[in-house]
Amino acid sequence: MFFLPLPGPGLRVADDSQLGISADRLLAWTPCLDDLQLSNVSAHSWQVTAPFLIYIYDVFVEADATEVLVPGASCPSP
Amino acid sequence: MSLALITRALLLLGALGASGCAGARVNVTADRARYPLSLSPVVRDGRGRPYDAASLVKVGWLDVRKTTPGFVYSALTVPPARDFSDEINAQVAAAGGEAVVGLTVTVAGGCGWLNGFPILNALPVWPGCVPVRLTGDIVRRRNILP
Repeated sequence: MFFLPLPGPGLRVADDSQLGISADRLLAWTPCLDDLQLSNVSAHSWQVTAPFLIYIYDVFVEADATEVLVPGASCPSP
Repeated sequence: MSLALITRALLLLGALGASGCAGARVNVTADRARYPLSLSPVVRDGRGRPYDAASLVKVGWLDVRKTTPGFVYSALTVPPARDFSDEINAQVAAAGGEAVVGLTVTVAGGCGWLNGFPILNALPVWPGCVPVRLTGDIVRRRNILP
């Protein structure tokens, strides 16, 4: 979420959270026998504006993650 | 009450009266993609065997963008879902790939001016939008001829 900086009085809060999703973080702990499947992926973008006072802008991506067994998958031999 | 105070109050009321909200929400699908899509660097074959960077070779770069408009303060998006299958199939086939790894789904820039357009975004008919971008590495297995 971003509160755009304004000259003079006004909100000056900023949260530069990284945009987008990467399964690197999701799958890093996934065992070799199963995967995480994403579904219901949706993207949002909105902005609230009060001229000269407040500009609030937010974008985000959401998804449902489900752990699924992979048929025939096997772990590598130690 | 001083004139300055009244002026400030009127400006504040005017700004609040002209405040608005716009945007969009869209479902992202690729149900008809003919190639496996992985958000990690690893992808599995039909037998479940995983292939990582050591066993894959990058043959191209996937980049698909679609912008979807929304109305009524982002409550109504037309269409409500965007399917990226055709573009993915076309780009992977053109690159001679077998899968996409490192897929990312991002909301790109480009709609801020529309979503935040002063005064007009107070109207429910004013459109907002959400620009969705899919990127990733198009890969194929090493030592497998196309």
